[in-house]
Amino acid sequence: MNDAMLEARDIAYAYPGAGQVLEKVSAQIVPGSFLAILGVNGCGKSTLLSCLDDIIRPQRGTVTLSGEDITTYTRDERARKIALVAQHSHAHGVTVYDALLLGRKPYIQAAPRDEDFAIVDRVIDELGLGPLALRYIDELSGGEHQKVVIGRALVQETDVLLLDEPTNNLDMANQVEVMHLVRQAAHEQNIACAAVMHDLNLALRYCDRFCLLKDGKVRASGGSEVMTRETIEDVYGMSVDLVPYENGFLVVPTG
Amino acid sequence: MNPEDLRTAHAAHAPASYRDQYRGYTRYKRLVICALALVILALVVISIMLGTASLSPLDVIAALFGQGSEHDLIVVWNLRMPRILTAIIGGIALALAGCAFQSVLRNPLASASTLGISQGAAFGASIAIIVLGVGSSAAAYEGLGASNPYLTVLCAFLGAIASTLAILALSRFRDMTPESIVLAGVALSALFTGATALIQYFAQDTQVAAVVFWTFGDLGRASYREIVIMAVIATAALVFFYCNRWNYNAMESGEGTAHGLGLNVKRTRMLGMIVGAFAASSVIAFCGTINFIGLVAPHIMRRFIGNDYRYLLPASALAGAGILLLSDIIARMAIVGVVLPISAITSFVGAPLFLYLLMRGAHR
Repeated sequence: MNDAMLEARDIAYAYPGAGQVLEKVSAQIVPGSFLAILGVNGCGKSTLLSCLDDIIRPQRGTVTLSGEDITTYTRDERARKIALVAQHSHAHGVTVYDALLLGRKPYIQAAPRDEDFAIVDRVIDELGLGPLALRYIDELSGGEHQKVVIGRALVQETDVLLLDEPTNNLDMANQVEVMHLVRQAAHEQNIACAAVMHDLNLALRYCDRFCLLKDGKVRASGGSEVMTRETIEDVYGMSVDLVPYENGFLVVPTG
Repeated sequence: MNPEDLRTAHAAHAPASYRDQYRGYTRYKRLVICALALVILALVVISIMLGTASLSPLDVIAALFGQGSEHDLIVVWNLRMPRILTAIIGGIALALAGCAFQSVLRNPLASASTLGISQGAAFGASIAIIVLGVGSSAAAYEGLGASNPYLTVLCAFLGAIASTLAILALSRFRDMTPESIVLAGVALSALFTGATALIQYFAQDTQVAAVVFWTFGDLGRASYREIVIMAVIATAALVFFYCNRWNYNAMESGEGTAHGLGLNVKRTRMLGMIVGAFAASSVIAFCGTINFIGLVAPHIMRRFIGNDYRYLLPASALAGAGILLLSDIIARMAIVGVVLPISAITSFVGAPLFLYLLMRGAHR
C-alpha cells in the first residue's frame, strides 16, 4: 500500500538575479489522487514542480516525502519514489522498448534483470504499445510519444508521478488519452500524481485536487469546490463563466 | 539486412514476448560490433602486409607469433606495428571522446575540434616549437626524435587541457547550457587559432614548417613507450564511459528526464568532458591533429545501431579505430615512398562515407 505523500511546506524560491518566484507555498500530493497545479505563465508552477522533485532546492521551507526531507534521499532512492515526466523529453535513435527500459535505470546495477524486462512488458501491454515496441521514438506521433514518456515513468514503479504540462502540443483526442492514463495510474495504482497544466477544463474533468498559484503564492487549494468563478478570474485576470456540464462545470472565457 | 527490415521481421513473427523481440533486435547490434572487430583484424593484417617491403599473409601471421625471418620480424614489430597500434588506440580514444562529448553536451557537432581541444594542442605545440626552441633545428621535424622529445608533447597536452579547463570554468561560473558550452568551445578554437597564427608570424621559416608538420598529424611519431601511455589512458576512458552508458542514455532524453531517473546531470557532464578531453588530448599530443574521427565515427555507427550507448560506445570506438587504420593504409600507400598527412586522409575517408550515409537516408 502506497502511503507516500509528497509535501511542500512554506517553500520560497528566487532564481539568481530574478525576483521571488515562490513565496511561502505549501502543497500536498497524496496517494490515489491527481493534483492539477494551475496559474498563468510565470506564476511559479514549474518552479514548484522542480522543488518537489529536488531539481532545485528552495531557499526557505521544506519538501518532504513520507515525512522525510527530500534532500536526505540519494538520487537513486528518490528516482525509485518519484518519477518525473519533463516537458522536453525527446530521445532520438532509440526504440520504444529502449525508452521504456530506461525507466528501470534507478534499479539497474550493470545489466537489466528478467524482472526489469517483465515490468516493461507489462507496461507495454497496459498502455497498448505492443505494435510500437520496436519502432523508433522518432517515428511516433506526438500522442504516441507522450504515451511512451508516461510509460517510462510508470516503468519506474514510483509512489509519486510528477508531470510538467503533459498535454502540451497534443490534439484533443491525445490530451484526453494522456489525462485518462494519469488518472488511471492515480486511482488504480494508488500513485500520488500532480501535473502542471494550462487547460482548466481538462483539469476539472480529470483531476481531483487543485492548487492555483498567483504571483508565487497559493491563491486557492483543495477539491473542485475551490474552483470558483471569483478565484479563477482573480488568478487568470479575466472574466469567465462557469457553465454546468455533466456532474461539474466548464470554464468559458467571456468578454 | 538493415535494422529497419530486421525490426519489421521481428515484429511480424511476433515471438513469445516483447522482450524476445527486443533481444533479437539487440543481437543484431552485437553482431555489428563483432563484424567491426573482424574488419579491424583484417585491416591490421593488410596494413602489416603493405609497404615498401611487402609481406605475404603467411609471413605476417608467422611474424605476429614471433616466427619467420629476422627481416620480417623487424618490419612487423619495429616499423609497422607501432603505427597500427597507434591508429587503433588513437581511433578508439578520439571516437570515444567524440561520442561522450556529443552525449553530455547533447550536440551532434561536439568533438575535440569543435570544443577547441585540437586548437589548444596546436597552440601548445607552437609554443614548444617556436617559443621554447624545440623547432630551432631540423630535429623539430622529427617530433619525438627532437632533442627534447617530450616538450612538444607536454605543451600540446597542456594546451588541449587548458582549452578544456577554460570551457569548464566558464560553464561552471556562468552555469552555462550545453549549447553555450559548444559556442564557448568555438570561440576558444578561434582564440587559439589566432594566437597560433600570431606566434607563427614572428617565427623563422623552419619553425613555422615544424608547426605545420606537427598539425598534419603523424601516426609514426609514437614509440611503444608512448603507445603504452596512450593505451592506458584510452582503456581508462573506455571503462569510465562504459560504466556511464546508462547515464548517457538518460542524458539523451533531456536534462529533466535524466534528473528524474536519478542522474546528477552537471556532474555527469563535467566528468564526461574531463575524461573525454584527457583521452583526445593524449592522442593529439603524441600524434598531432587528427580531424574528424571523433565527429564522424559515432555518427556513422548511430546510423547502423541507433543511439543506445550500451552499444554505441563500443561500436564507435571500433569504427574510430577502423577509419584511422584505413586512413593510415591510404596515407602510406597512395604515393610510393611518401606518407601523406593522416589528418587530411581521415577527412577524405570519413567525410564521403558520412555524406553517403546521410544521402542514402540510412535510418537514424
